Amino acid sequence: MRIPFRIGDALVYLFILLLIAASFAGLYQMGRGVVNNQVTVEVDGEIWGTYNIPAKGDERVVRIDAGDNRYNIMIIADSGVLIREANCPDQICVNWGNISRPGQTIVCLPHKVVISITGEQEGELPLDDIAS
Amino acid sequence: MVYLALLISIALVLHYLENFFPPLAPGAKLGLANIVTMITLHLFGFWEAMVVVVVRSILGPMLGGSPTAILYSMAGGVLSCIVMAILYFKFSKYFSLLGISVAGAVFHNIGQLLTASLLYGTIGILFTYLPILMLSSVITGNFIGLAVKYLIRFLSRKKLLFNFS
Repeated sequence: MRIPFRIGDALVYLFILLLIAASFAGLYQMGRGVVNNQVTVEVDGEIWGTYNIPAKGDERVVRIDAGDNRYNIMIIADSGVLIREANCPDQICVNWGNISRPGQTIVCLPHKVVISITGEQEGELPLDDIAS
Repeated sequence: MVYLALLISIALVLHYLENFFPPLAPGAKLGLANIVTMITLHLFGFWEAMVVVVVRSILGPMLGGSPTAILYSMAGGVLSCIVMAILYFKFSKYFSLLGISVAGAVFHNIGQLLTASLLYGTIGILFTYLPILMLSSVITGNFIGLAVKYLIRFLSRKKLLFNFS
């Protein structure tokens, strides 16, 4: 029988750690220099609505209607955005919890709903200079 | 051909049964059908495993799931099959079955998340979901790898039907 653990397996785990680090770095990069955060809701690829983050202590309840009696109930508070209730089969969006940083998303694939925290970029992105 | 058809149907049943298990984390599944992919790689080879993956990806969502699930399933399955085949046939000196299985699970998730990112036009989906799915890949990958290891040992000891090349 094979030896249970080999040198390559360590590489696999190293690769996983790198990917996790890269994801956090990517999220951080997406959230950098972003001002005026807003919550954008897309249904089936179309922008369904945008909402401002309410003042501290306030919260806003939005019922997202994805058609065919499919709904997601979204709570927007100053601490973040979450889905409180939805009638999708997998309930992934409800279990996903709170998102609060720009670039983060809640996705409800069965309803084709994407909720993301967006914002305006402060100043020019250095990437634009490289691209042009 | 008959054995491939058998393997595909086993993969389909496992794919379907998986819906009844509660997910470890949002979007994270056990990946039971990956057992069949690895066994096919071991018994037949790369292209045969690819056939199993593609047919399972098309038929699986028809048993219960949305049409877009075909895309996700296919992207994840094909990518993980390619990676596992490379590791299994070219680098099996350095990788154990458990490591190959974990790598397969990792690339399955990467494939699915890349597809979702492309479909929804934001790479944020990849960054948000990747860390938690990577952790679940380690758990499920090891579990699946262990299952495959014992299955291969059993099949080679019993020499049941698969004593041909």
